[in-house]
Amino acid sequence: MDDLWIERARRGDAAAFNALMQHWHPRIYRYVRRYFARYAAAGEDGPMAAEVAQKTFISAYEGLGRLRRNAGFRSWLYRIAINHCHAEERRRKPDPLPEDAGTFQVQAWGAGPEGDLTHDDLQRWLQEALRRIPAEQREVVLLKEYEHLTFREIAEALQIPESTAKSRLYYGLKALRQVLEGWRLTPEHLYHES
Amino acid sequence: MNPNPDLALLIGYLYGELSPEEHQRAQALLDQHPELAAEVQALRHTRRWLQAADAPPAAVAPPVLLVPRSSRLQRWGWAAAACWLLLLSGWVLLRPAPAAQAAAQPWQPDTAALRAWITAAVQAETAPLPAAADSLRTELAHLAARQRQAQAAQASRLTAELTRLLRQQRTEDLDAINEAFRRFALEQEDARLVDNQRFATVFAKLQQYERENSFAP
Repeated sequence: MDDLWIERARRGDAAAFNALMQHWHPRIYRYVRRYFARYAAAGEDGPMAAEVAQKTFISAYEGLGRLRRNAGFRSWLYRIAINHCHAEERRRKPDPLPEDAGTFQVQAWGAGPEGDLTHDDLQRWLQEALRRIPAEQREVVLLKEYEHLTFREIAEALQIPESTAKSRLYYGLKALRQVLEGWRLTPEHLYHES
Repeated sequence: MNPNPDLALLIGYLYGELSPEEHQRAQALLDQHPELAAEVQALRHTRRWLQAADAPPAAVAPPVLLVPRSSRLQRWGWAAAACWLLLLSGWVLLRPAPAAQAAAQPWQPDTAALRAWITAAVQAETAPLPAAADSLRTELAHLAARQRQAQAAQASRLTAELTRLLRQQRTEDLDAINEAFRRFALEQEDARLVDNQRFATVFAKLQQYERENSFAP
């Protein structure tokens, strides 16, 4: 169905583009919101995601004629979204991370290895862990784990070699594991929680 | 970055994106190297964290629709625009004018009648001044009212035609719809120009009449 919409949208059918937007906007919005999850505490992630998603589709509408092949639409759309995410980040102040922030927050959340963890606890810890890994690795983790892009699509979206995408994902997962282990969080917490 | 080929293989294995041959090679590698198998298992746990602890953000409706979402809505949108044009035209054409009186009979859009009326108005110069001027103004008001009614009828006809046309159009025929609207606008403009010329002629006659007879307006 996407192919039909894309083809018609490329020929200037605005209704077809709307259909594409209806289909893809929720996914782009969710990706961008996860991308900006570290602004959730300030309640800024939602508005930022809405704005970036809107910019993404405006850019897509303007640039659809330059899309070379329909099959590349998904990675092309994510690439636009990622570029807008980067632009939004450049516009904002740096986000310094205190050295002891992790320890402090883990204690504040009150859950040790023996404690009971709610899903909200797990979510906060995961967001904090994601925040602590390099941005380029986090991007790949989000695109793979939540958007389910293929490695080829990730490579196209980020304009990097496929092998680099795999490498970033590997090191990103490894870095996440080290952060979680540093907080003494083990797989047993997950199994206990679920 | 030039990653270890084993690393790419392990990641492909972890996500099930290997060809059968690659999968076989990866499996053999893991069988031979327990430390790699442990690494893959640890990565699986991390993936499980990512899935179990995630809370998908609630989606929001697309904030901007560049055009109506469907051709049906699109047609209704155009029809609404046409109705708006009709209302606007009606307001312009039918708004109350001083001393205007509604004419009961339908307007016959022939210029011969207008010419005859103008001739009669000019010939009325021989009549007593106030009576002639009043008659001229009354006739002018009648003419204006008839023209407004005729224009409203024309606008209504054109709008109905346009609406019918729009309902027949498919989304692909946007150019045809635009062309119909352009024609509609041109017809309206033409009608307005013709009426302006008529009114200008009649007013010129009235002013000439009043000037020549020193009638205070």
